[in-house]
Amino acid sequence: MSKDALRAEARAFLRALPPAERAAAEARIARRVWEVPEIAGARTLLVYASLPEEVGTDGIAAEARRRGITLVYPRCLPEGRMTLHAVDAPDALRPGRFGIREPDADASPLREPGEIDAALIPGLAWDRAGHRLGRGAGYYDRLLAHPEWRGFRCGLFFAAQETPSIPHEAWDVRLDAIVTEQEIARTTPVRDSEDLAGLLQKTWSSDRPHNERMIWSAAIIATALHRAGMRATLVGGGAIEFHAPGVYTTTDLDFVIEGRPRAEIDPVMRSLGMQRQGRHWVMGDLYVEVPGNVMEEPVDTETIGPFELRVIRKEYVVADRIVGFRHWKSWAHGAQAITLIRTLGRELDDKVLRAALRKEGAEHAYGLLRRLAASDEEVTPQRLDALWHKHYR
Amino acid sequence: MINIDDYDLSELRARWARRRAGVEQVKARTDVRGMTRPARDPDEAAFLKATGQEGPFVEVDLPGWREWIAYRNTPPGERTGPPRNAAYFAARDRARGLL
Repeated sequence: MSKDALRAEARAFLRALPPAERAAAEARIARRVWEVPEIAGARTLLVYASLPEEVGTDGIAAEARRRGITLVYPRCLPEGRMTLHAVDAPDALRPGRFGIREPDADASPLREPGEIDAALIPGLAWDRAGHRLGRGAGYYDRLLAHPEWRGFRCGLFFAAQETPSIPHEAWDVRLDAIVTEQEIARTTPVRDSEDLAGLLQKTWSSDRPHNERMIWSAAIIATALHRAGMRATLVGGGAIEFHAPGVYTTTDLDFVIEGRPRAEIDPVMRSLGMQRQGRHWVMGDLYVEVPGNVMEEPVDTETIGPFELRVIRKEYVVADRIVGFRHWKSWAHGAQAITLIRTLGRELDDKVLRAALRKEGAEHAYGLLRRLAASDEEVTPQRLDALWHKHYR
Repeated sequence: MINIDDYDLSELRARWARRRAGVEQVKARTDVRGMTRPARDPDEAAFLKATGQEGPFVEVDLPGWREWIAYRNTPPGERTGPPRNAAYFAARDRARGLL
């Protein structure tokens, strides 16, 4: 069947779909879409503003906002091109070209195709090989073929829009999955944790430098959590090893994990070959701990090979060490703070660091440790003890 | 299977090398005796020692510290009691004679 004939058939089906049946199917799709790990784990999700005959996305968008996912909507330009814009509020969309609700180009920040983690894509028909039939203008074909595109491509369709085979060209980009009211039809395999478990084991037992083993292991664990819909941020000593290796050698990885209930962490850790021991998950001498489920401090997202790793910003790592010295009289924290201040130097954003310390009543201690860091004096427990008692006894 | 040897970390390594040089300067004038503990696992400890990577291990398990970290990383709506900061947790445990 030709593409035109398929389009005509699909349009006839969509027009004839009874409203109640459509609403029930859309509700099931809106629930099922969160079962796709790549969608649930996305930080930036491209969503289309649905036309009346397409699978509705307003409910999905509302849930995405609730989960803290950044939503991006397309805006159609002439010649089949689209720009992508981050949109905060549902009422920020206005009817644009073809009557499709679009973001205001002036009010909504532009996003690049390479920033999209996953996309929900509409269409008139789909097949099991992942081909989709669009409206014929080629907007999505161009976007998905963009050289910087690396996001997960998920079509939203009604089950009855499936067709045995959609005519396609060799260069057409296929969808990775299609979600309907009946199923999630994947065309690329689920990247389960099995390969990550082997990789973690191999990485941790390798003879690479200690901090590289730590950072790769952190990235692998964060990726496994990400695939299960969780967002992990490396904090604590592991973050120090990332920002300034050598200040502190640890085999503990602390993650703040957001997005899913704590009970869902254990199966992921076990799938990686880690065993629960008290508050830790353990593999050999690698200990993982989860001190919380909300990350208010800013983070850096770093690329570690094929993975991404979120790490708390260095100013907050330094602030914690200063707080440990100031309030807990921990000379080890003081020595680490001095080393970090001296090492990171001008790379530290002084305003950010001071604001974090002010909140914890430790800004003054920063001045003391900074002066010691700038000097050539020896840093000993006795020196730190004397410094603390001079100012805070 | 992904092979981590296939990936180029040269940019990160350059950043780490630059910072590590700064770390070594300060460590040369730092006495960390009394601030360290060995790796938990003997094999890991032996490996680090043999490869010159045995660094200062520090047990950050001070009374109140973990509680402060957990408080900070709990959604504001789920926190109980008045707003608390590091000074509060440290002072409370000092008053209890734990610090």
